[in-house]
Amino acid sequence: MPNRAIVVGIRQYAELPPHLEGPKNDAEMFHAWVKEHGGVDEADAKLILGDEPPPAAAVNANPTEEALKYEFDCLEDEALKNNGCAGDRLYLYLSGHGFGQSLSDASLLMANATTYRPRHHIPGSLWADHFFANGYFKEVILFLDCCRERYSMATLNGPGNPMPVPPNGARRFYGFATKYGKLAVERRIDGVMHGVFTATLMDALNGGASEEDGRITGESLKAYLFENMKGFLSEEDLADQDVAKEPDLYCEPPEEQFVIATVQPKKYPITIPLPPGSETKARQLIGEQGGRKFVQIANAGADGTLQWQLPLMRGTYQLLVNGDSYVVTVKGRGTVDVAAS
Amino acid sequence: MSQLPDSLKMLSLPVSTGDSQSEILILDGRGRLVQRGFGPQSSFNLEEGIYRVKVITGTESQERPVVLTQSMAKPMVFAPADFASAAPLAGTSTSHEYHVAAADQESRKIHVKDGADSSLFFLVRDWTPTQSERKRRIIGNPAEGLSIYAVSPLADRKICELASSGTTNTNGDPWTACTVGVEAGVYELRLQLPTGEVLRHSVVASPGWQTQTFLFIQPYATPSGPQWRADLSRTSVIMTGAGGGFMPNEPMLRVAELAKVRLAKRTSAEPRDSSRPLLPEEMRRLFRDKFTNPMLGIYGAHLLLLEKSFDYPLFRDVVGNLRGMLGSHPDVEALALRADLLPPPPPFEQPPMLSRSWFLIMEATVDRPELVTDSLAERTGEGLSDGAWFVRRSTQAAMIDLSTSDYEFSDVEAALAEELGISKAIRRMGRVQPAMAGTADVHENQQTEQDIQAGMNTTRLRSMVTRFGIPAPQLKGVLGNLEQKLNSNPKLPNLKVTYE
Repeated sequence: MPNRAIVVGIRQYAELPPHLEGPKNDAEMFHAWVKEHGGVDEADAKLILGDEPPPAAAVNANPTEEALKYEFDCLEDEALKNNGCAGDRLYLYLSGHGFGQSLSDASLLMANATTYRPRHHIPGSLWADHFFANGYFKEVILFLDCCRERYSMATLNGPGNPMPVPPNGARRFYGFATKYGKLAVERRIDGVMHGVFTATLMDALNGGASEEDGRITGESLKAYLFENMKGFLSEEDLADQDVAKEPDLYCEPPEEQFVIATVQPKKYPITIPLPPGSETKARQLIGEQGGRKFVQIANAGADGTLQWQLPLMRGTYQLLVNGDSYVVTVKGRGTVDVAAS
Repeated sequence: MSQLPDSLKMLSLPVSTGDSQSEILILDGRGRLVQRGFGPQSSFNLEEGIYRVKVITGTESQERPVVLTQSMAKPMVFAPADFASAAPLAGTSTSHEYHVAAADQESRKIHVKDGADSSLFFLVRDWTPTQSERKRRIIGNPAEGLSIYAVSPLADRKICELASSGTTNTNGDPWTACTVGVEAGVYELRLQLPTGEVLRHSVVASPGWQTQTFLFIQPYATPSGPQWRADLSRTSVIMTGAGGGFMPNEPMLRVAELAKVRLAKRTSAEPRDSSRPLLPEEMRRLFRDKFTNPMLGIYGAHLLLLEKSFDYPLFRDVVGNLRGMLGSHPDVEALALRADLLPPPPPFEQPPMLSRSWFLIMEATVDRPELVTDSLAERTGEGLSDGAWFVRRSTQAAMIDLSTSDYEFSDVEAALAEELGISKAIRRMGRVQPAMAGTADVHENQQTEQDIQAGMNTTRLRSMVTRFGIPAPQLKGVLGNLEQKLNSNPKLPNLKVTYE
């Protein structure tokens, strides 16, 4: 059965300031990824972008929640025609303005929403759960890059019918850009505006979160996103208690068995600064390799310098040099912290 | 017995935290979660390796790496974390000494006297980090738009506006404090937003107690730029003796505040890690030994209810003690709905403070339709979304929505129409052109014979009343209206709701 994707990015809203800059870039990036690494054929990867420029009045703006629900209905109809299954995996990616109506969900405000008409929205988890619980897809992966400020809880455009018990073996991974009540932010990254969550997500999905064998699992994706999102935030963002520093993630257990994608793992060219006086000392690095948690993964003789250059995956390592022990942490994009242990 | 290979020998990693409610996460070298526990002390058995120990306290987290090559005799010690709190408690990251002094001094005065049984104290303040360049974020009074009302089925009576009745100081981060002497009962804190919208939150005055409410401010968007008003979602509530006063170093206040943060992050609908305990053992001991902090008891009882392995005897004890301490209190009576205590809770005339309490009341209305009085149901308004506090928004006049102009539903009706599959049926009938906005009209000459049957059993009704926050009788009323609207329009499907 095919994999399917519905990818939505709304950058400019007719009557919902401020304009955003990231959602279109982010949606296009994710759309490209699902086709390259996510196992989705071109025809099954639906990209829905907001009108640009938006019309003067929100009532004329697209896409609306009806448009998205129509896409959902089409998937459901297809499932009903095919013994209840529309595909192996569904990717839902939603980016734009949004709000949080509950601790377990967030909604994307559609292009026709206004400050006074937040009812034009799509609640992400409710729809993802609909496809998951009904078994329309064996796996459902949802990413929502939007704010989760508290709005009304009553205006839910959720799917109909009570949720059944999901079929055995069904799996889901849900990723929200922020914890409930917090703001998602966008920043210029590599010269282009992106949502901080999506920028981290794309780094993860392009190999940052890969295990040594290339598998990106629910577990490794969660670990990467939790650790690295704050790396794109400014000092001001980090001090702002309303801005999300970590995403909100849920993966159906066992997380390590849910393979999201297989992508060549990223090894970063790392330069480890060595402590003064160790120019003439041999050094070794201990860490995780080949399924073992604590093995020597590199060693080198003295080279007269206070730097050790080597390729490393992200992770935490022990550096032994000159009889002392240090902890070396390689984060996403290859930034390094070294501390005495 | 065979021996474990060296690499799999288990080593001990003891961790000590400053707070019993701190959550301890052990992450491996790649950041994968390995084990978790609670403060103040937990010991973890781990294989040799490199780990990171992450301690989450309230809104804050601390993290340190450790290379574990042998069992550690001494624990890794994490000092108590300074977390954010609207109450300027010691050991929080958002406290100024002059705010502590204001809370202590102003809570001992009575600024407005409306009764003598009890009192309500409010401190509304801005907070900016002291090290940052001091730039005033607000020009007006931090309590602007806030007023306290006595609310009854017959009439609402404004007691005072906090900004004009209290004491205000604009040196440093500005604050306004106001103490209102009242008779015991439930009052309403109202916040008029710059948009004209009004948010409402219950504050409960109990005989012999002072209820202290602490609020930060936040910006609200307006066409002329952000305006600052109180932030009702991050309120802190403390109960103290009738004479007032504020003790920032009282350890139980910190414990209660952390319990509130934990409660704000939890819902019963949350699928995540439901088997994990939410209360550390130390707090259970505290509840078994009787407690004297009512807010801690209320938060703790809710957390007990949210745990998968529900400790019913302890829960019953806590609720019984709360009744003894506070008398009639809507949040305590909401909890009593699950405690089988006598007398059973009477019908609710006033809303509770906490979202979880409202959830319990809504759930119970399925079996006890009289549980929410008509008067309360009428004036509840629309609940804002999850979080610790049950903040309501005054329902706005229905706005005509052009995209559904042929069948005008209220927001709740529209949500129910989607929930019941009516909207889907309309889309399936091909009557709505979905791809474009502004063309979502029903074709003029088409008629439908389609009937939608919606069978309502107790489980489904309970799920709907808690999801929409509407008592069962009122929800049935909305369904009846929806039925009528649909059945009187030949262009729309018919709806038949049946109750089992």
